[in-house]
Amino acid sequence: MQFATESEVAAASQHVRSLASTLNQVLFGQEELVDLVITGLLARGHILLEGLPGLGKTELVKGLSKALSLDAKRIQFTPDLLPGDITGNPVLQEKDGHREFVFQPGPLFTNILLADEINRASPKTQSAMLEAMQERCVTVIGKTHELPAPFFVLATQNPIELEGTYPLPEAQLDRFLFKLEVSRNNVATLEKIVTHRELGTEPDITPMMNASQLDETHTLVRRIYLPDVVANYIARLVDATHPGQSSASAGIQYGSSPRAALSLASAAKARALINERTHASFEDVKFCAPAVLRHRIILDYNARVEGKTTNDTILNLLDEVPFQAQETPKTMVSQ
Amino acid sequence: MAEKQTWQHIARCTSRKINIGWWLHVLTTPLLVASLVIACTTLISRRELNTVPWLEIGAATCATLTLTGIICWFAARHHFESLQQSLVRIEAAMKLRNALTAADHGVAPWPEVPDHIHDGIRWQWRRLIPPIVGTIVIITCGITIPIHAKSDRLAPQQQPSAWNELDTQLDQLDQQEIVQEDYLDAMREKLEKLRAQSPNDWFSHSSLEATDHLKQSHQSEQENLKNNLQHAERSLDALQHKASSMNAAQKQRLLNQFDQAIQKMQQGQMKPNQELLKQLHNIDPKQLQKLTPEQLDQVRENMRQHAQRLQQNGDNPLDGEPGEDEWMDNDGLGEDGHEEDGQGGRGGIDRGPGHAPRPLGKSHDDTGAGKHEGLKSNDPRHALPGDLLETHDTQHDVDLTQRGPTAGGTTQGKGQGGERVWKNSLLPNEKKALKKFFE
Repeated sequence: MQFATESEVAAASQHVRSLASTLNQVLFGQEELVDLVITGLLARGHILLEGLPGLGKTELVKGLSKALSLDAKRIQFTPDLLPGDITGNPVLQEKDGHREFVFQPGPLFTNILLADEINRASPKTQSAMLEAMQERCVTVIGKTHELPAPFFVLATQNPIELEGTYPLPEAQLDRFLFKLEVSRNNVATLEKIVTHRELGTEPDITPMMNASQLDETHTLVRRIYLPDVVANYIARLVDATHPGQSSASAGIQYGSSPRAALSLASAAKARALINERTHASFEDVKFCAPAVLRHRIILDYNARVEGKTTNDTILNLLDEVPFQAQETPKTMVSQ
Repeated sequence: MAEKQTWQHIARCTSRKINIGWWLHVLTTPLLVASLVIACTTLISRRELNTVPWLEIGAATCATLTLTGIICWFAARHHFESLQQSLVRIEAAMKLRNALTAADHGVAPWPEVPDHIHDGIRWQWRRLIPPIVGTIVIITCGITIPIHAKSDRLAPQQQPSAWNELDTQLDQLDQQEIVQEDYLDAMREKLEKLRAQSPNDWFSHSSLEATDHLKQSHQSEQENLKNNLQHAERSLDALQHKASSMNAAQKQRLLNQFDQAIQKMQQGQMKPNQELLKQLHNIDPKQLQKLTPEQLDQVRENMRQHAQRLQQNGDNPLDGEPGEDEWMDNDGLGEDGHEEDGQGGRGGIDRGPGHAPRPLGKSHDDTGAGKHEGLKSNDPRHALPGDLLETHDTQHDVDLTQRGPTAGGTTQGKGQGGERVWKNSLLPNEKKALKKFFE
């Protein structure tokens, strides 16, 4: 495979920066969140957004679909939602004098799907998302239907009001490339929102990329050079999440899967493209690691009781695992 | 290209630095062990060998340290960093976002070389210096620790000083040609017999006694010869110069003395030299008048000189011990002058100064046994009958028990102790109550 050239990366990076600039006009004061959403998008990953209501999660998804000129649909997950409600159902129709089942596509058949409050759906309905997220297709009554490309799921979940919710199983969490935490805005941002927004109106968004450009960018991300030392760093980092593999892993019950390593590599490449580089770096991995790993690490009971969070654990891991695999002799000290 | 060469040069320097660091890391323990081995070897060499081969030890030390260094270099090689790994270290330290690795792979251009370059590592002197200093100290200790060579301990023991003194005296007699060679040869032969013993026996009691006896006999012979020569010389002098004023008896006595002295000289083991003996043989005391005064003077002068030399030999300071020549009975002269130090009675040769006081000498106040003082033992276990063991104040042993009359007259017996009390002292009511209680 030929690695991406500087000119290709520069051109693609220009588009991506425009997209980021547009989204920053939609969502004030969330530059890092926007950066990570675009990184996830370029890495062809699904994103789980966690945050309190009203922080702009839905707005971000809508803005993203408009900026990319992609079709977007929204599903409000409720406990009584059935799998067929999202995948689609076969409907008996009369055609040429015969009646037959015709598949009626559900809201899954879109480019960007906003799965709002996904943890409120029953596990049965949540599991219907598994095939769609991993295989990018759905199977109804034995017949598989391809989803349109590109297909992204941006799910949201509310960290409060957990009564009557169904926490996502680990298998489904693992399908999300990133889990992003949407933080509240500061006073300056709130002031900016109040000044520039009207309740009930949506901002005007100019499309910055289309589906084919996005597809080209995806191809370019795959051609970003991932140095062996960076791949080694990713492997050591993911390995260190397992109990007993590092001192920072104390309190972890289950570590990350190899899918996490793949996700991290893909995200690092996307990050390198955004930063107009033809190669991924340690810093890219370090930047993406919290978003990639925080939903793939399960803390044990003691750690949870002690108030440890996965974010703290990941920061400790990043501090503990050095960039280079080579040890430093004891006659020398790292500065 | 310039950037590439610069970065690669920097990476090579870093790689070299890291590799030396690994070498020193691996070298630490073996270096200390090697220095211990070197120090021990040096100490053993110094102990075992008579002459320490410092050149060889130095060469062996250098060779051992070099060999240790080479072995450690090979042992540390699997830790060594390549150029690419050093590039990674540099780009990680300088936050170059893996630009050097990508450039080395041909994916990206080489970045510009900044003014300040650092590889993120520095020497840890606290770990580096102690092994090196320890090695130097250990090797220095091996060289400088005071230790005696085993050969020093095996060196011939110093022989008793009396032997050397005897040798010296015999040599002096030999050089001065005072006495005959036979005596000197016999004495030397006896000395050699003593020396032929095992060095461990040189200072044994029997050896020292034999040495003492040999020395005393030599001094005795020497003194006898000196006295005989003096007697003969005095007799001859008197016969030469005062013969006219003497009567026949006196002359005869002097002639007898002269003759006896000559005979004693001939009979003694230590004889004067051949020349003097021949001269003395040629002299006929009854015909002294036939000899010229010059001849007589020459004979007397010879005898006087011999006697003086013998006297000098006898007074040789090499004799060392005070009063050593006092074994001779000097016609009651005693040994007062030699025993003023009060150290007499400590035994014979090499076993202390002086000798036991003689009947003719002045009695010694100090016997050399130190000051005696009586000790009083308070141990009652060793007391003898009649010894006073202890004294203390006490009272007469008097029985103070109250006793009533036990018999006699019409007195009613009132019992003893408590019985007397309740019968005599209690009131009637009390007696009744008490009696009732026991009934």
